[in-house]
Amino acid sequence: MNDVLLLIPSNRDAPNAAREAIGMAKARGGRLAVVAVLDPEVLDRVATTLSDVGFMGERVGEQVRETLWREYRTRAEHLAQGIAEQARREGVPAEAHVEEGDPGEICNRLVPQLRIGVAVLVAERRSWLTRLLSRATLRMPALAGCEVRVIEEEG
Amino acid sequence: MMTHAPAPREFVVDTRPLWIILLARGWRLGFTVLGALLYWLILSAPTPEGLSPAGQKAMAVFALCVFFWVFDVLPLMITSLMAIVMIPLSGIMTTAQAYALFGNEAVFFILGAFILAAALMKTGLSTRIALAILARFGTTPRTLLVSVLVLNALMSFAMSEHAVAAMNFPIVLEIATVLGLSARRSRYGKALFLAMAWGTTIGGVATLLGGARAPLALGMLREATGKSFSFIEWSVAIFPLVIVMLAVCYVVITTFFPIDVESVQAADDALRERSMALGRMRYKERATSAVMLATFSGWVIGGEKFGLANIAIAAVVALFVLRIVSWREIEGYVNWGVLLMYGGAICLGAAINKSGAAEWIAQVTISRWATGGPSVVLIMSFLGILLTEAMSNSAVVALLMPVSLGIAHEFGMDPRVMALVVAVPAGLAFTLPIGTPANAIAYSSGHLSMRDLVVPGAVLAVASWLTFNLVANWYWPWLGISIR
Repeated sequence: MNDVLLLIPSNRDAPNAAREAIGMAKARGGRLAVVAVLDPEVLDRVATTLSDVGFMGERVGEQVRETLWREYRTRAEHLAQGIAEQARREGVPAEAHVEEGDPGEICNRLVPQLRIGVAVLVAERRSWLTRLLSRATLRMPALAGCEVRVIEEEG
Repeated sequence: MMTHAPAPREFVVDTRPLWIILLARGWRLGFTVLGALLYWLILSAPTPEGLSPAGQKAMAVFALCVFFWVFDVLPLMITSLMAIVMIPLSGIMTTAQAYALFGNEAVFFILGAFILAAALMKTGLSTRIALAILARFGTTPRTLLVSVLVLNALMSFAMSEHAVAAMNFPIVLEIATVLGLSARRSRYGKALFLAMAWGTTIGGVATLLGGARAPLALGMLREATGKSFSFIEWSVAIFPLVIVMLAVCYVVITTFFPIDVESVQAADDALRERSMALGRMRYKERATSAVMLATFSGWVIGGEKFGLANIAIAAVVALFVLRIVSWREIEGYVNWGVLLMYGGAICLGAAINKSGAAEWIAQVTISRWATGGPSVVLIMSFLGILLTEAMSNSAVVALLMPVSLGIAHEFGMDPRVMALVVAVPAGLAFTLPIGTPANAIAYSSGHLSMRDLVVPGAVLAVASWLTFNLVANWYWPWLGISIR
């Protein structure tokens, strides 16, 4: 149970969390699993906004959604691989994954599967304006027997 | 850094302020009850002096619909349908009169314009045009940015601005990827997505086709007064605003996000490659071009004689006769709910005007503050720009247009002016993702933070309000459109 799981969002840099997770894996002598999560809820929210009156048909909205999904996946792969590379350069065995679904469920599934000791999660530091205007929430998954660390990142 | 002990089960921490969370939880039911209460209060109050009983009933229905539109209690089009039902049930009009208004010319003009835009997208002609223009002119960072801004504006002259943003979004995303522009970090990335969104917004007000707000306003104007604008008259009146705003938009974007890339050669190569890969124009693209050119010529030259809607629907028939598109291909590209929304809004507007409620609202509201035509234009355009940031553009027109016609009557103004004063500012949503789908698309790219959109967007909103009023005061009189 020395391994560390780093769960990152698909389209935001997470340098603080990456540094912390790599440092912890190194200190514990464990491996680092970097998982970038594509949350369909984020895209559903975008699609709902786009289907507002005045927008052209559902097919156009679907095309935008597909474009975004491809883009988010590419960015997620790039981000996860970048952190895994950084970890390997620092002598920490690391692997990168991209998962689709609810971050809480993904975390719950991976913790026992990869025998994770510490899970490092990312919380976006939000300005008052963003907090006022967006409905993002911070999800804390249930991780029995696993230490959870939440690292704040700039929004 | 925050450290948490293992959690017993999943829980959610909502990061929004408490009052917003509370509002978000029970608002729909609460607002439905509040709306019904508002309707009942207006209906059961003693009839004010100067307002007829039919006007009072129309005002109750109007207040309920506006309340539902503003707070998004029901989908916009369902609120419109509710209006059509409530108008005859309240005894304001007969059922036949109310449903006949649904078949207004403006609704069919919008339908035709949407199907034509769908054909442009489905045949790939619009993408070909976009790629050709960007590959031709976007050779330096500055010219590429200008090309994205102007291209989106130009395309919004001919088709729905939302469709243009959706169509050009993958192209701008590809440019950002090829140039390696980091999401949220690259200033040039932010500038490109803002140019895409705001270009469509500014271009969307230039003609009757950009956002379908103008046909809605003209439909209400014609129902109430029998007057209207021709296709070309509308564009000529708005064109200086579009030119000035495109220039202002470029300055605002490059001031907030100075260009931070040296070369766009990689993007230029990618665009040329994609453009070349499309090959020669196919039959369907050539035929669509011909139909579009003929339709535009028809609107400009014979719009008044033959009717804008007739020309639009004839063009749609031509698309099918020439086998350019099939019904199956087209139906997914059209937002049919818009037609319901517009039909209901025109019906409600007519009920408000014909019952005398619009004039009464004008007397007890804006007439107390406004001193003449210019101040009416100043106030109404301000309201339009303010409301459109948080409401659907069409809902703003549906809300302000009937009242504006009453105001025009009160001040002895040309009622046609009010169509411009309501429909144009209602399209100028720059600051919030919810203001217009183009902003939402740009924001969803992940390149922009809320602040990136709100702060320069607010500057642009103020600039557009001032420019609009300058154009109304100094340019429209040259065209014979008096605001006094």
